[in-house]
Amino acid sequence: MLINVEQQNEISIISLSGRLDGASMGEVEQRFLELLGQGMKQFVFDMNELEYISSAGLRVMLLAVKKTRAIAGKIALCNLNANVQEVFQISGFSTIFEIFPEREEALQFFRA
Amino acid sequence: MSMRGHFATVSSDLLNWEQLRQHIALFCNEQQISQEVMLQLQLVCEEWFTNIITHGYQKLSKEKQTSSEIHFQITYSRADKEILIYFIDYAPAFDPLQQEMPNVALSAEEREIGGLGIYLIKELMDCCTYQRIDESNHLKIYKKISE
Repeated sequence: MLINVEQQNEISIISLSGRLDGASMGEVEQRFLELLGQGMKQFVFDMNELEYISSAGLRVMLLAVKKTRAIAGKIALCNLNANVQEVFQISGFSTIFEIFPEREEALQFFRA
Repeated sequence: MSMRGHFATVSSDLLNWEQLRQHIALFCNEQQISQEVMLQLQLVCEEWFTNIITHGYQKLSKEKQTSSEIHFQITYSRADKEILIYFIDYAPAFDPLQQEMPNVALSAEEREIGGLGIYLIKELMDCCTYQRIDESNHLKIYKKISE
């Protein structure tokens, strides 16, 4: 799992690459909590390079959305591949998250 | 009928998932199974493998463990166009088919993650059977392949 974070104005763009599973969930959680600890409130998870997600990965995503909403922040996802999209759909997570096809659209969501 | 497969026995350690994951990748490559199906197979196997360890073996005191092995098998019947995944473990009885399914319509605030792994197995695969035989759990998972 590769995690890349870039800042665009007040928005943290977290790009995930590889597999978000039981082995990598801890890293993603830690990175997210660091950003939260730095006072960040707006997050885009760019899943363009994310090949795979399991329920362990969904656990981190659920934690992220709960923590963000608890501080009145915003979270958006973009660029989900077909497999990842399917897991989000089956688990009902596609209704929990704001999901966009492209990063630019996800960024628009914060400007709205 | 041609029936080829991969077999592995690993101990109850989450780190061994990597080994099973590679078996599935290799198997799918040999059988020319699509990337999409391979990822689904890896997903359901990760869910069940993790379940065996975290809800099975890790809840059992060391003295009570007769074996902490997990047997794994994946085969493809070309005649039936069907993949069979077969797991055996020696943890306490646990029938995933009797578990309550999560309410996937709840909001983020109300959502819990529990039960989601087994729910994903049921939704992504075509059929599952569970049997408790001689102090061991036998789970068979079937997936039809459209060629």
